[in-house]
Amino acid sequence: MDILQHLMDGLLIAMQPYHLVLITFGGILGTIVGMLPGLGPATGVAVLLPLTFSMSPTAALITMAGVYYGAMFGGSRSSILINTPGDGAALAATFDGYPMAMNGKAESALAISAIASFIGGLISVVFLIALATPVAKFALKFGPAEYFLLMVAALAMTSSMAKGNMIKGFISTLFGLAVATVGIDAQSGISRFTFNILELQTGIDFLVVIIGLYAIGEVFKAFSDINSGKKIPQRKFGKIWITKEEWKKSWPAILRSTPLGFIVGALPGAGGTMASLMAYNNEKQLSKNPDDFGKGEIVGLAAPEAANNAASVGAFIPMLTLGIPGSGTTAIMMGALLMLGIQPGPLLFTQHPDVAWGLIASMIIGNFVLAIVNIPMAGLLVRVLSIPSKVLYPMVLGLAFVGTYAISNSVIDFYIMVMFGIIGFFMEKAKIPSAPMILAVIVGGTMEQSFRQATRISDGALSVFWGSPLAIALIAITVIFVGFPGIKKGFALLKSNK
Amino acid sequence: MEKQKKGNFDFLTGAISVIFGIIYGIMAFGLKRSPMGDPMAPSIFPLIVSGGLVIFGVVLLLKSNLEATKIAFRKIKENTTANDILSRKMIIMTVVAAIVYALIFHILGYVISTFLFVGFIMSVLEPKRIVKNLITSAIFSIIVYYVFFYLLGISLPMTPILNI
Repeated sequence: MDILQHLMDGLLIAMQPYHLVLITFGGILGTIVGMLPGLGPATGVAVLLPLTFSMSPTAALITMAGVYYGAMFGGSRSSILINTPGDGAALAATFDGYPMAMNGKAESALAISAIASFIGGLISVVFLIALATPVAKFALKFGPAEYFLLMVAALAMTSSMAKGNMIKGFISTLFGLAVATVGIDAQSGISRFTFNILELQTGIDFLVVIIGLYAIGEVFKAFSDINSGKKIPQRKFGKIWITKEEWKKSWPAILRSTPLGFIVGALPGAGGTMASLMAYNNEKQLSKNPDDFGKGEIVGLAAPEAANNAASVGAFIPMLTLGIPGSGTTAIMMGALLMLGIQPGPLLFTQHPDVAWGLIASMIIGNFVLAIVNIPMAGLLVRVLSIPSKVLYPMVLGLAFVGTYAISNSVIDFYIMVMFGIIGFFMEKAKIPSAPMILAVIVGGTMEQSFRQATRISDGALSVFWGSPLAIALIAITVIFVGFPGIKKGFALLKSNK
Repeated sequence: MEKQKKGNFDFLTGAISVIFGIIYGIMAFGLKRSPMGDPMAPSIFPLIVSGGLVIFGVVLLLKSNLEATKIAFRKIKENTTANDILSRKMIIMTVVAAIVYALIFHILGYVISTFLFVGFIMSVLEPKRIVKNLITSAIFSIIVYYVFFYLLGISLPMTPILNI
């Protein structure tokens, strides 16, 4: 088996002592950032990304996988112990996690969150292994027109699934596409929208946009909570583990939530938040005692935690196989891959099998290491929560700036980053989703190139965009997703009429 | 009608989208023509984007109303707490500090400019413990410098005279 051989090679690489040190180190740093209120995995990876710039691709990916998993573990720590989720995906963990901690069951809560994340993550990696190669092979059939339509479909999905309304999602998307057009046009050599600023000729690096939104913007948002009283987390724990009974209750929920989370995560734009909320509601409906949910029901913590981790693995499918990141974190990981000179997409698995499989293997190892680090060391790690955020946020800002400088060696990017931090802050206030904009900034360049290639091949005839069955299928998907809210309303009307 | 009283910024968002779309479209149209192939090639995609911004902006304008945006602004004015004012001040100070940071970054070098930047923001957030803040930010900037420069091999602007 080719796949197993690749996976074994990847595992052997990931298990070298140097890589194990990196994964542990990245995991601990990620946990610390993830525990900061308001800061989640996307911020964690964004801020710690420059650590990997001088590493080999494999070492860099392994470190980032550690940071990623660490930040997710860290996020649920602060959800459970101080009722403050790191990001949307950790929100569902507060519903029953915090009440559990209040009921004196913090040990069980921390343990089940780690166990559920571990199982959810591990099973999803198996799904990922099974699906990645076929999807990549299928994507190889795409011509420029299909590729363009695929990106339109991904953007439409992201816009329609984002919170707030869809129109604002589209505006956010289009703004992102506009940002992506800044710089010298690769095909004609003409500078576009550079305002005669030399540094803008290479375009606006999307990593700078993402760091601006996730590091600067999120810290700005967090400023409003910084002055309200600080919650002191519990710091002394008994043995962090669960009882047999708790395990009996939780495992079916974990197994049900994992595939759900994986599928939702693989769809562009849906992501961990939706996956964990869906898993939570699902278990609540299936439960014999739905009234216990929200009062410290362990199932209500296990399900979203498993779904969240599964979704984060699922999100790697579109990024690795199609070059379209479905979530903020995978967007940053994709940026990191591009910095290392590796283009994610259908060819990744044939051209750089070592990178693709190295990443998959490091996700498995990262899962193990983080579970091992997080269960026994939880008491030690949560001490971070008692460091005043007034000290930590300025450091996060400091790291964001040094990271940006490391990307381009230019201080112009400082201004761009701060500008996007401010834009992100106001977008949040006006309830405009930022995820569509991020995706658009990332795929905008490729999208335009595919569009132009397609029209050049067809000599300007736009019929190329509906000339193949695949193209029509992609258009249909886009229409369904855009029309989905309307369709849902229609069904509701039909039901009420009956 | 509880819903109508709720303010939102949709009208403003729509207006900004239309204005931005128009300006962007004019700029896209005014781009130099391509010397090879289709002369309009570099402008077409931006023009589509600009059209989209205008169309969706108009749709949003039609779906929302000016009154709701006015209510939203009034609500912000009415419900502003001392905490909000403080956090706004922090944001403005951070933005100003970032601009100054960018200006002095190459002149003073990484360690000193970062020490000033991080120390300043810490002191904006927690004015009571300036000495502690300065010590923390000095340690932070030196550690980051060493980690980046020596461990990661990423060059950061050197500090003159001190040569670090």
